[in-house]
Amino acid sequence: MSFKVNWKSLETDSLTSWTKDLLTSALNSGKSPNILASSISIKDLNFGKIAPNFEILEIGELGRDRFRGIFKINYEGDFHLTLHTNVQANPLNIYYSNSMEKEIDSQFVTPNFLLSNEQFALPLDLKLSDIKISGIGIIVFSKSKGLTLVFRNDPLDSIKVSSTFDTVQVLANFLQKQIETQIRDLFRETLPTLIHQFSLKYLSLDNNSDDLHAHFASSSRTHSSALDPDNEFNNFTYSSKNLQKNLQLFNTRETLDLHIPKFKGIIQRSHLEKFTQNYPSLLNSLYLNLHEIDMKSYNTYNNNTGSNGIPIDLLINDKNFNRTNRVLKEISDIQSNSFYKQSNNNKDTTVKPKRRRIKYSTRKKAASPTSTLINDDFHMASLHSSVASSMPMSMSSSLSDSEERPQLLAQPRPMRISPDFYQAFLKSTPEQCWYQCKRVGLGTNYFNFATSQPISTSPIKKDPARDFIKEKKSINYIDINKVNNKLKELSMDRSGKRKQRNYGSATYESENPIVAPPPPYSH
Amino acid sequence: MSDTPANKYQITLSDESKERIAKILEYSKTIAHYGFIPFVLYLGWSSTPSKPSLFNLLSPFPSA
Amino acid sequence: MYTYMEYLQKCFYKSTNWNEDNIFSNITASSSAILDFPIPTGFKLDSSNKSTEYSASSFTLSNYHSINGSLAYLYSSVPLRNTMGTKEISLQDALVGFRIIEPSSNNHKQLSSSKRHDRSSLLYGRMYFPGSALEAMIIKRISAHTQLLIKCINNPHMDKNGTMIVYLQKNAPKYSREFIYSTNESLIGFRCLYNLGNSDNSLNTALIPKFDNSVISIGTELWYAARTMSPGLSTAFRYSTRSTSTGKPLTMTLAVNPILGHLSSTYTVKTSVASTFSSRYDFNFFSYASNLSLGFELYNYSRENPVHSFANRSVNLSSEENRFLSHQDRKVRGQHGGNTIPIRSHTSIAQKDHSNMIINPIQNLDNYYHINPTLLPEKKKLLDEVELAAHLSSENSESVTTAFQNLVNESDFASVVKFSTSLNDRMVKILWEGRVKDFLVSTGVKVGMNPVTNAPEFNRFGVSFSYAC
Repeated sequence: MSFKVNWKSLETDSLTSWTKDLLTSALNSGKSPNILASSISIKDLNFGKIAPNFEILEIGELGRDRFRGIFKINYEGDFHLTLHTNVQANPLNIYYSNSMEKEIDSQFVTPNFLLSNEQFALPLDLKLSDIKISGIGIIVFSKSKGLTLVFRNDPLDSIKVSSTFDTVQVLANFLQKQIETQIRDLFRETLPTLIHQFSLKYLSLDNNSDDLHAHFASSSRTHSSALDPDNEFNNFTYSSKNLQKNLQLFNTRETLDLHIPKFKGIIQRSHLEKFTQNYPSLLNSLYLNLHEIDMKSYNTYNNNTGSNGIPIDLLINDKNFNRTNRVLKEISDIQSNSFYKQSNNNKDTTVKPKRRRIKYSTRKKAASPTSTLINDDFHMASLHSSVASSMPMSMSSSLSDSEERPQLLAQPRPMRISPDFYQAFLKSTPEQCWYQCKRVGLGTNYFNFATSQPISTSPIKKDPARDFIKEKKSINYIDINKVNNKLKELSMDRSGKRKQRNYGSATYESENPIVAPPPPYSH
Repeated sequence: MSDTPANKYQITLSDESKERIAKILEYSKTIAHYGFIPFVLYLGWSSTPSKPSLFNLLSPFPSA
Repeated sequence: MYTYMEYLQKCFYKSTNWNEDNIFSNITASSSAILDFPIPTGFKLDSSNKSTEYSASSFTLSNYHSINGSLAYLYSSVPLRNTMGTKEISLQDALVGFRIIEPSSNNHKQLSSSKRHDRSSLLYGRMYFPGSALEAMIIKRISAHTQLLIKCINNPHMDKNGTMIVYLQKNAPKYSREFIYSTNESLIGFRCLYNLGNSDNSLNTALIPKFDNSVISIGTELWYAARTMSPGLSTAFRYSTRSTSTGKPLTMTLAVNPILGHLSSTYTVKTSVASTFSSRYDFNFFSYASNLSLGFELYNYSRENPVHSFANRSVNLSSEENRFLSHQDRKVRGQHGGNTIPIRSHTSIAQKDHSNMIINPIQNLDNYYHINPTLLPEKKKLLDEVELAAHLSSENSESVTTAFQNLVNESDFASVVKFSTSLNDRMVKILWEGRVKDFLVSTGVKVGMNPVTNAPEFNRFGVSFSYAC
């Protein structure tokens, strides 16, 4: 990452005078050497036209109240600075001053000079120009400790020093050397100290921070007026809502709170797995199996909220009984498939799924066990039970190889159910649940990250889900290739080439604006 | 010019003796440093015919 | 204010007949005492005790940066009998002030008798704590006019510990010469001073009495710091005289540094018994920079003890020459039957004293025991000799000047205020020194103008107490 510095904005009188004051105090701070007969003043200060290059190499830590980064600075501009001071031209005066500050009672061993140590100051103008700087520095910011800036190397490459004594080669060389060491000192000690003190001044004092807050508030007000805060894509304005959500998110990270606030159009790293991994859901499987269902009804379903991963709308709204029947049959098929798959994996024995049976009428005595089973299937699915939540994995595995489905059971035949009954059942269950749980997996969608918005995913490839489980890495692992591939496929899908029908994968299309998946990461 | 005999002398010295001389010089300096004031006191005591007590000599405060 | 050790050193010089005014570095002593007086920093307490006639000790406590102190001991091969504690010392002796330059021929004549101090020596050591840095000084008189002075500081806790400076001084009545070497950057120095216009011939001075009061000295100094190759040079001229009508001494100096083109001229005059005024003008040929400094000192008479007896003072006077002069003054005053000196308080002293003529060597007067040294049998002989010598010189020419000088020496002052300012440096220094109970107190402040903000600020402030007995 690199920055473009608006160098021209530096050429203001206030900044120049401020810098002059700062430099003057910095130059005159501490004990001045005896060769200087007066304090140093700044005669001329010009920032020049060429801006320095500023590049951030690394950000080590980024938090609400702390920041650590490594940056690189390069400067080869036309900045110049002219200093004015008086230098002591009488060497015996320097000797005298040196001798006087050497010991405890220096008067004692310093001879009494009469007039030979009289001071004789010569004015000196010193121009510093052609400064070349290239350095790597570390910025550490912490709310409690302020801002610290340290240079890793010696940033000064070269500097041109010209003075009134340029004709005297010895003096010119001496000055060049002295000033180089002084500027190195400036970068090494004075500048970090100054910046640190300056940052502390803003951090520690409450009234100052209030000023800052006011400043920020005024600036953010202008921003928010320009951008509509209700716009769901406008996540980057500093609205209080967003900040609050951010805070909430931060707190969940710290406290293991299970409730994670949701952000529109933003995928959290911990949920990225859902993109990279092939989570088969009831719905996905259903639509793959019943691909003859027209997309219209599918879309209408998508627009509705509140179901338990069961396409209730499909069942309710559709007037065509045959189709409803088929859907129910399919659901029952998938669920039983999943169940048997799990039991097969475990014990190689077929266990009859235990299902509650509801008898609608005593007249239908002759109903086969399979038909009651279907009814129960239906209920199982709609109940969003804890049983379901415990078996998403087995579900997925069963879906991947449904051909090997045990032939023990006959194809269940769905029963007709009146929609009113179903509605009544829905109402009896807590609403929260309906809202929270939606689509991904069966019951595991508690951690869903985009409830109201469809996740645009491209068809998942044929790889068996079992492999996915085996390969499952840590939750933080991001399979970037997969994400990229999906993006590609998404674009292909949108161009209309939707012919591949892989078992265990789903294809969605919606009228809603498709939220772009996270940008491709580069390794 | 005056340095040359000293240099010659130094060259002939082994490192060990050089070290020893430096040590001796250091010790003598320390002795002179801390021995000077007792020496001044002794001179004052010895030249006084009444030979005052040590406390009298040492005390910078007026004795009652 | 001199420290007690410095005071003892001066007493040593006086009793061994070493004329400090004849040293080149003291050529501007009078003006610098009034213009460049030091201001004490922080709090300082000084307690000194002269345990025997040959040794003394001193303890100093100060808190300039941190609390630190020092312990000093001094040995003199010459018994220092003429010293006084802070209780009874005269302020003129204890403070750095105007120095009346004695014509060297007179000094020489009067005091050359003390041959016994030819090989006298003084040793002084001071240990600072914390840090145990040592400050040592050895003065060894080689002959009557030659002495070796070694000063050194040794700090065991510093890298380049120790600086030593050696002076080889020859101080003859007509001239003085000094060779100096300092280990600090191998500084070599040479100083010399010549007195002009004086002849040893007493007959000559009697014939031309006007010149007898004045001393013309010319001197120069040469320095070379070998390690840093820094040279230094300056020349000075001093003219010191006394007004023939009023007897007030004045000193003019002109010092030149030809390398830097610096010229400094001073004019110092004792305007009355209790006040001195001094001015200095500095000018640089090369840069045309100039500076004018002004300063004065004002003595206040002691109130509680207005009749600090005449005779007692003469005992207390710290040198033989003063003793001689005071005696002379009494004689002069007796002749004139009063005096022309316009100091009211002192006139009253003089008159009172005059009316109560002391006849006995020790006399009780106004609850004081007055000791008249001239009447003491042992001293009488010596003083008669001196008196005789004084008679040889012209009595009239000395009458006014010595009368004034005696007044200065004998006045009992309680305090002094010093003030000095410098126009170019834009600073003001005020110093008050005086006697509080048995202590000598010195307090002062330096106020300077900040060159940047143009606001006055306190540069230095301090109080110093000193007690000695």
